[in-house]
Amino acid sequence: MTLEWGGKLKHKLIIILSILYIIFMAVLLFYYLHKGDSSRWQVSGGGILVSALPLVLIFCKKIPFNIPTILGYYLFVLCTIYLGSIASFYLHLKWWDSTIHFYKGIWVGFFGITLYKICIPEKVRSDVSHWVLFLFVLSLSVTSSVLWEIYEFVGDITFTHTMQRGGNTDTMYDLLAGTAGGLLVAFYSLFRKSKV
Amino acid sequence: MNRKLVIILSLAYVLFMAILAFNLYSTGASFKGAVAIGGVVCGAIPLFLALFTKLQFNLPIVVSYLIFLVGSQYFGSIRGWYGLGWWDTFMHFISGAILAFAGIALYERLIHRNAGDDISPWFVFLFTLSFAAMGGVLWEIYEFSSDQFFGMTLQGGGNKDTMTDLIADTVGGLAIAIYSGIRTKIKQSKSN
Repeated sequence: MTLEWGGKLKHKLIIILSILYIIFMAVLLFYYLHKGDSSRWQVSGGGILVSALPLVLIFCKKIPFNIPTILGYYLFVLCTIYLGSIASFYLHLKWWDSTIHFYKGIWVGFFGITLYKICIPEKVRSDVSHWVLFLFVLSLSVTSSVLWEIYEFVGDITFTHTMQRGGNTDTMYDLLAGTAGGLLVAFYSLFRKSKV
Repeated sequence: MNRKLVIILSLAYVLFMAILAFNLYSTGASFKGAVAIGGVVCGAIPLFLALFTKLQFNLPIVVSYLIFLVGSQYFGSIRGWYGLGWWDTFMHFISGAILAFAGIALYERLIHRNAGDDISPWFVFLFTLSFAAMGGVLWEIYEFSSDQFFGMTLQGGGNKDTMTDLIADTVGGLAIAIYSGIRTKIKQSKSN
């Protein structure tokens, strides 16, 4: 009974938050389109897409992600798309970028724990060393940083020219921050393995 | 059998590098000589493991490790192929693939055999890919910290170089990860 309610709660949460975000991003899109601010309306357009992404989960009968992970995703979108790019925190606050990377490292770590649970059925989990969980959580989180940097790098080559402006040092600090976040969750998962 | 092959191959590499170091030092090429000494040390690692431990060897890993050493130390540094530009990227691609193999071997050792049939091939794919990508990141972190703390210029090529390295690592890992995912899938459909 409680499980079912929990499942429905997650569906409602995702629908409400996604719709709110999409409306917010669409308003921003039209505002900046009207102002002729091409970089900001493009970011808002991307914001609509990433806000709509969790809606895919509605088609699942039982959403595997827990509520903190779901809320964490929306927090991430807010911090990077709106605060970071549109409100220019990335430009004005030097520590913003690395902090987001650290946060993202943690979030992907928890996402990794959920993926681990989906991919490895409960009955065989006792046959899997907890180092698999540790390595999986850590390396998935690090990989997300790499993919993010590749996205920035390719974006800069093709049309933005600003994302990796900080050069090699910036890229390396991003990677270090992401790795640190992932490491934290990996250790957490190691000690919580009995419950995972 | 594996053990003998590991001993022969790594002994051959150690001897080759030792002779090379001797020749290089005697002709005054002391930097390349130091690389060759490094080669002796790197080649000695599997040799000592084979001689003094009871470790079970995974032959593909040892062989690809030695190929990597030949590529980076002999061709890259001593023959100067790193100056070619694409060689560095190519070696990163190879090392991504090697790391992926190492990831698979590690994974297989860390799960009980009977559990393998129930674990999604996607997990094997993701584990292998991200293990290789993480290896690439750790390598760049090592280069970066050497530059920061010891004033070296390992990342002298700047952001573009770092990113090309990371992409090559990831692509190398991806190739092997796809292979391992498909292999797991086939294995599972056979046993079911």
